[in-house]
Amino acid sequence: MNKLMRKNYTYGMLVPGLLLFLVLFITPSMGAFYYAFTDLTDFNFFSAKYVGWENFKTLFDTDGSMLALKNTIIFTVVTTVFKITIGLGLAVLLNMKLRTTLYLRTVFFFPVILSTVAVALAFSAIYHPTTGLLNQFLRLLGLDFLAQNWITDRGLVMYSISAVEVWKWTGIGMVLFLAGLQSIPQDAYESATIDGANAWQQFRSITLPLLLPSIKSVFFLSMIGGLKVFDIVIALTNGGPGKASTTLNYMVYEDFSKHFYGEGTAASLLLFLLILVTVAILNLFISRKEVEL
Amino acid sequence: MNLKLKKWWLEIMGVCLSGLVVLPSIIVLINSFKTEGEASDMSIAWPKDWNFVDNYSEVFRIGRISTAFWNSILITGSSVILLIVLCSTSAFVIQRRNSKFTKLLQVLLLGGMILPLSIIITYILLYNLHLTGSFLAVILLYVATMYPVIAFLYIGFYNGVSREIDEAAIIDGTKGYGLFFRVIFPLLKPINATALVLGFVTVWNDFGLALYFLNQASKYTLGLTVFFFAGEKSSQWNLIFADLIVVSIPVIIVYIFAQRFIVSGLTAGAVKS
Repeated sequence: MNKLMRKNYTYGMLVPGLLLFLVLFITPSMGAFYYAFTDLTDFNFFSAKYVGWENFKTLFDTDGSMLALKNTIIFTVVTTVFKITIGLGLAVLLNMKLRTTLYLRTVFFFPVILSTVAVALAFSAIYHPTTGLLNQFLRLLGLDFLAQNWITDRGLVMYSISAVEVWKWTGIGMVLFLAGLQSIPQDAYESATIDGANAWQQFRSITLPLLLPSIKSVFFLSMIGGLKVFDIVIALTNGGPGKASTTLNYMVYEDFSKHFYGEGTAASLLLFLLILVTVAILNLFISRKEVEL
Repeated sequence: MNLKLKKWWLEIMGVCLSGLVVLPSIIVLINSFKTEGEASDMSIAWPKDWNFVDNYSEVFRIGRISTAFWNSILITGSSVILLIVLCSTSAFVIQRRNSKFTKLLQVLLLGGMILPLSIIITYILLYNLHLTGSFLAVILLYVATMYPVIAFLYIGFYNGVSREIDEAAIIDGTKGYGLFFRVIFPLLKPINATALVLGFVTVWNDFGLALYFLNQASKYTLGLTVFFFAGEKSSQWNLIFADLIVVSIPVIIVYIFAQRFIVSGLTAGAVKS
């Protein structure tokens, strides 16, 4: 049996791809655990000196990094909540066998295929305070008081960025939820109707539990993507106004451009650990919930 | 009757909601045809002066679009081919061996799918290998970063390919690499299509890695040109919009002709993560 394995499922086929992954992904990830504690400032791994917690102290002492952490969390939570609720709403709508279902699915999925940078740049025009589509539209409806400085207002900017992310990615959730909905047997609803359950009760006790696996996928996908956010920030606001919309991954890029490689690596490691811990905790929490159900 | 009326309301509501996607897209398209002055209003009105040819030829002339287009094709094409070849083979061994070692590998792959790349360390590593600024660097990085998700796609697929096929082939005398390339690979068409679509859209639309690693104008991908172009021409919306359209056209064409594959490919990638 072993000989059979060696010959037919040879490591020769495994190694080429795996090697790239190990060298270019795993090794740097391991390296980061050391170099985050050094004064790495040029492209030389050997001249870097160990500086202890120095980089992390700088990170935690500056207001900028704390803001970046806060922004990253706001973005992650806001986008996850809306991607799930709106995606679920759209999926329920599309599952009603409307005449326009095919059109609606095509349109709502369309943003998913576009490049984030292109979308973000288009939205920088749409959010324009005077000539932007959004404010023009609000004024047209007589809702002038709702017209805002969407991406130049410090308090608002993270939410405006989040909205673009939701606009771009809700389609994925919608398609996943739709597939989940279509796999629920119709007779479950029929017998519930006979038992006198109303639409909301049916949604809560049949649809939601059976959709849990798809909700879980969208939830994790969105959390992980959200914590890593970078493209959309650099293209839409470049971290501005001032530093009001910097995120952790954007900070890594800033440190990189300023040649603060040690600090940037520390920020990157922080992000790495944040995602690892978040995913581990959520996974534990959700699998425990699943057992209860 | 009541039910029919309700359905009409839902249809209307759906179409109105779709405006949230359609309107911004139309604004970009219409304004890419206008003159600079007209486009600065960013209205949805039909252009008074059609500036179609001027805008688009200007974008091609100053936006370095044609070079960038070929760069994007080269990078995306090579990455996707490498991904399909390397992941289909790796995944086959991982799924068929099913040993402690390959289980450990799957944990590593899971980590690779979830965790971010330590980009600065990777940069310095590639710098010391004299690869930064080269297409090879980004191609290898796209393969390395997408390796986990695509490998898992194939592992999932192999779970459904019976071992009896292997055994029958081995008895017939097809062994080793022949088993994979002559017997298994021809079965992979559907999953190859999924991997192709997922790889194409992800690499074509990527911006982050290209920004870090391709720092010469002659090496820019389409995503990079549009970013720098918008930075330079910050008020010429007609040109920026024309550029956005040019950059998006290839994926839109693929979306129109292969929508089923795109939707299933991208969602398959999502579920695996």
